[in-house]
Amino acid sequence: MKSFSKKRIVKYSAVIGLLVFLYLFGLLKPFEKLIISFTNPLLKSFHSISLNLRDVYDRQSDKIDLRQENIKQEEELVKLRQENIKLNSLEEENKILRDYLGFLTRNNYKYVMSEVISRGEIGNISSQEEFLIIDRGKSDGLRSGLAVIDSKGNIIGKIAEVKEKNSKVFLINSKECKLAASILNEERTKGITQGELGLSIKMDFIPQSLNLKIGDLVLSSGLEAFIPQGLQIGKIFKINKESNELWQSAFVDPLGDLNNISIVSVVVPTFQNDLE
Amino acid sequence: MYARIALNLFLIFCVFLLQLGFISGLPLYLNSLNLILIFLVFLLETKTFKIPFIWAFTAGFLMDLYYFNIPGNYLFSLLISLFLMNFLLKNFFTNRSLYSYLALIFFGNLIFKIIWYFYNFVLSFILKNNVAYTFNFLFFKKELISLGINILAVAIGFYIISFIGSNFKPVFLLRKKR
Repeated sequence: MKSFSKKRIVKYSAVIGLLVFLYLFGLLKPFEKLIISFTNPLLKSFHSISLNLRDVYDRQSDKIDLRQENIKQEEELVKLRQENIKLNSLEEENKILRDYLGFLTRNNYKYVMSEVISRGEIGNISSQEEFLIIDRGKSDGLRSGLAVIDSKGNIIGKIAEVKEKNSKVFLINSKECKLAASILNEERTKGITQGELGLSIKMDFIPQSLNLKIGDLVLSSGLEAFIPQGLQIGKIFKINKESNELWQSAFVDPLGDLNNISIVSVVVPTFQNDLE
Repeated sequence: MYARIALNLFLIFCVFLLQLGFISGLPLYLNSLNLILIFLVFLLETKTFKIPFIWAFTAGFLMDLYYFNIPGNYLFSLLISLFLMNFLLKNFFTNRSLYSYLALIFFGNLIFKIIWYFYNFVLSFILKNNVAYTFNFLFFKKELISLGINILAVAIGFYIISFIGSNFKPVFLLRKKR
């Protein structure tokens, strides 16, 4: 087996150094754009094949007792029907009030649909950073800090970085993803959710005096500049309340399916251009 | 010569697409397969150093274009891993036996990850970026499983190739009866 001579090593190191230098100063951008626009469609089709496989695996490994689930759901349905009646009357009332006040909050956002082209680093290195790469970027009006939702409107992540044609989305169970959230209880408890090693979501800094319940819904609080209020994050499944501590924390189960994501929408505020 | 390089570039591109698009979405721990590193091990054992070097260089460059890490992270990690694997192969292992393949992928994986994290930490410190990894039990468990899966993939690949061709020696050198 032949090895490289010292002269060659120096030559190749110089080439590598030059490439990194060119990249750092953005001189490779046109080349990068070309490669990415060429590979994105191919990556999408490859990714959808593997997602189908994942879906088959998930269905096989689901060992939920369907009967029990059915009884539970029926009970929930009765509750929801009652709630729905209440909400309908509230909606009507709300509509009238909004018309009076001229609120147009919902119209301030548009949605950019995007497909997932890859997930995580190569070989799942740094698996604590759960992230997706989507095929929309700066050229589509995306920027870091925007909320990413699934087809049911649940937040599944937040844009961390953008390139011209693609973006990195930290999933809500990633340590890097922090969201301003509020719990849908009487006090509308506010806090910050943060992923826990790619496994669950933790909501911290909740005062001890506030009453939390398992099953309470957690929504986006609207305190972040580019994330609207009321997007569903998850449901509380565990509460950590120690009498000797200043704060309590809640563990949240995400409502969106974070394992099987192929198409997402990015919530883009129409007022972001005015802010820039 | 140029046709060979072009063919290799095409193959690298295919492996790159497979790794980014297909492998990354697989369930269980199958997404921890590092196809590029596996190919490097096989090429290092069977070809002249130039071919795996082209592979490491091109694949590293493409990954750096695609990912959002500090520039050069994949390029340097793959190249340094390749140089160290070559050093190990030349000085400590016999060519083309299953054990040398398994040892190479084991050390290659280890070296690649250490350099990847080291590069990330050092440059993030210099560039004042935020990096936060927790090196807890779960982290080491995942890394161990990833190592196991890559070793298994190399072993399967070795048997498939030795079944198809006659390039590799089996685990033990069998004495032929005359």
